[in-house]
Amino acid sequence: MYQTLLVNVDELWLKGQNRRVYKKALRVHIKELLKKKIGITYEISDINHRYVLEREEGFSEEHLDALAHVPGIHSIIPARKVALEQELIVPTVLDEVRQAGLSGTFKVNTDRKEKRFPHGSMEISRNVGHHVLKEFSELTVKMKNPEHTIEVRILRDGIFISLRKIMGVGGLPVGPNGHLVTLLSGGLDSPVASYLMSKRGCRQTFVFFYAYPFVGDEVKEKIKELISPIARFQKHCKLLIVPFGMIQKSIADKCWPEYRTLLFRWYMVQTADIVAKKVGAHGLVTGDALGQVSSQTLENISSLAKATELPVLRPLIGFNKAEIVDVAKQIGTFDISIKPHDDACSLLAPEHPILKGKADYVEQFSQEMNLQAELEQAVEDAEIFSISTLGEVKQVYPLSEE
Amino acid sequence: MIYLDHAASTPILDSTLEVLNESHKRDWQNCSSKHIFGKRALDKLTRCRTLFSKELNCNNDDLFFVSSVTEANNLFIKGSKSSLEMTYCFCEADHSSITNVITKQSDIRYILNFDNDYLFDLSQLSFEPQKSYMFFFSAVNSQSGISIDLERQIARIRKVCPDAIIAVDGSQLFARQVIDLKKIDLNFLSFSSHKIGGPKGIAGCYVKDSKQLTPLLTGGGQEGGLRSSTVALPLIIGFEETLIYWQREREQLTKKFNNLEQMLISGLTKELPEIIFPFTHVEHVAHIIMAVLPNISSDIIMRYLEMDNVIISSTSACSSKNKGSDKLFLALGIDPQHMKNVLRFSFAPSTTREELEDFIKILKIHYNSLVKLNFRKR
Repeated sequence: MYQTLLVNVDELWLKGQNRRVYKKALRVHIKELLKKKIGITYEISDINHRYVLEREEGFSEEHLDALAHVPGIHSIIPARKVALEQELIVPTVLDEVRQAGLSGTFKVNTDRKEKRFPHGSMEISRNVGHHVLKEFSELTVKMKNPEHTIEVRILRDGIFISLRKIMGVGGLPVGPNGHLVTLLSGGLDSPVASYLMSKRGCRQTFVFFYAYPFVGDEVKEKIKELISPIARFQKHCKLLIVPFGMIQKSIADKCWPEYRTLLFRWYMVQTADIVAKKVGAHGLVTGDALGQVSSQTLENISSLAKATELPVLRPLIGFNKAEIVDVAKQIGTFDISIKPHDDACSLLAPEHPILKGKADYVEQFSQEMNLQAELEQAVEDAEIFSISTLGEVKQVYPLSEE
Repeated sequence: MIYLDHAASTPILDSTLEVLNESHKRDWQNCSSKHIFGKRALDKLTRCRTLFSKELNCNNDDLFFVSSVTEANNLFIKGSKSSLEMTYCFCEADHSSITNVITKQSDIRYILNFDNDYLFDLSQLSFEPQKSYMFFFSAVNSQSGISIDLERQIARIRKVCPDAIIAVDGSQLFARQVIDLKKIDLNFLSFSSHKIGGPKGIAGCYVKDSKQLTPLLTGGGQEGGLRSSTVALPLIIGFEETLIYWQREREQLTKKFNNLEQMLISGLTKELPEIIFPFTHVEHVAHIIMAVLPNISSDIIMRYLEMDNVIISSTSACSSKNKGSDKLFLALGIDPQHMKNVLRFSFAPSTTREELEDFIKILKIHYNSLVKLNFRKR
């Protein structure tokens, strides 16, 4: 258990005038996570552009893991805090090293942000290193890639000594960069796309198109499982499971078979647009990677351009599949995404889907088959789930009843 | 609503519900109590047990009430003395309360396959006289409706393994047909209440030699020490009433189910010429019909019908993306290309011709609408 955590923020140096907005969003996110969801009380202060969290009972590994999912946090450093007195540094370091049972190679880094402190960084590092070597014969100094780094931070409020650093998600705090509607499928790509947009500070509402009766409840259960790790990178979000099977059937009944998939996507984007207007979102997110499947050729992507006036963000557009898989493993969605599930789009997909769809046909079809009322009704009928920042999924009332 | 999944569970009979409600008010006493109330309750329990033992032509002492057929099957498989050295012989087409329990219980297993008469082919079994063998199978396969000729099957087993322990799950046969345990030499038979319109939470079993069984539960020693737990007398009385109904109506219901089966098969064959009934040519019960409707996943058909309040069973809960063959259907001899196209319809006394006529119309409309979509084959 650590009584003090240093929370380093990422990218805020970029933000100039808006820095206050971003810092407030991060602070609120941490509060929602630790106070409201995990239920612990702590003191937070802003010292030298980093947050210092203090708690007498200490912070557990669970608390550290929760913070590591918060976008905008560069790293979390569990530390021991002592007063700004030079003679306290060495005994504290020796005590920490002893408790941690370190062996192998090490180096000492000193960061002296408080310039009024009378001793220089090099001097402190050398002194600490000397005492560590003297006390622990199983440790040797290595300046490049050591196994352990002993960090001594001299800040305005005290000296912070730490042996560990947990890397965070980085990027920007969730919220200030706008609200998006993310089109979620049960596959690998869209969860990764969502994660990348969480890191860019976007709040998200998720939409899943539930193709009952072509697929069954097991697909819905999979989506509810999949949303959980994704939502850990959000402050608090909602998932709409929109009934879409009979809409897909109406489309498949009337369109040229090779255009089915493309037209399903057109109406999905239109539905997401309806959701965006309802929740006040400013754009859509999809997991498209250029050329990955037939519906993601440049021609087919551009043939859907008029389905919405909102910007459609495609953060994976230049990703290779292997790169997507790597991120999916890192964020904990891979094992869920690869579970087999029925997918109406592929079930109803033609043997030879169109690769270079004609925007004229797609737009003309959508004008002749105006499903606006049906799509609005589908959104009204959606099952809505609320997902906490810890990934707990709870069903809530339809949007219209909220 | 049209409900044709009675093999899974069926509504409680009106007469049973009436008796059950009354019994819940009246028969709350503990059959194990020594006072007059307990003795009266015990008399009722004995009355019920006698009805069941007469139905099966066995002794009262060999007849036990349990909570479900799954419990009964578990009791016999896990509780048999020398169960760890036993060679278990079973069919993969059988119910999970047999297959899963045996698979978890022992690594010494022999998988039975059907021959052309849907009897178990024992030609590959290398019988060793010093070993113990248990054969466990359902009298009626609940997925296909195939009815095993018990007398022939048991004779065949006894010819190869004279001392084999033979256990039968009679869930889909009990009460619908007479089972005479004096004529068929069984060691164990389990039977269900809720499959015939009785209350859930009660079932029974016949055990030829209960001394050879170790109980799953120990405690007050109820049911001859085989199943400690306070006896659920109202449920047993409800079960008794259900059996009385079947004994009274059995002949009429057999005719009714035969007529309904013929009507459904001829109606569906006329309206949907693609439909296949794989087991109508073998010995089967009339109240369970398995069909194959090619080209469309049975799960999709089932959900389409569900939207019109028509309930059938697709018999397959697995995803169409799950690779590999379904053991159950393989064991039944279903063509692997049809494994995702299997439907099951099952009847109860309440099923009517009108329901089936409507069902045929609705299924035809949905099938024809779906088949036009030309689903991708996987």
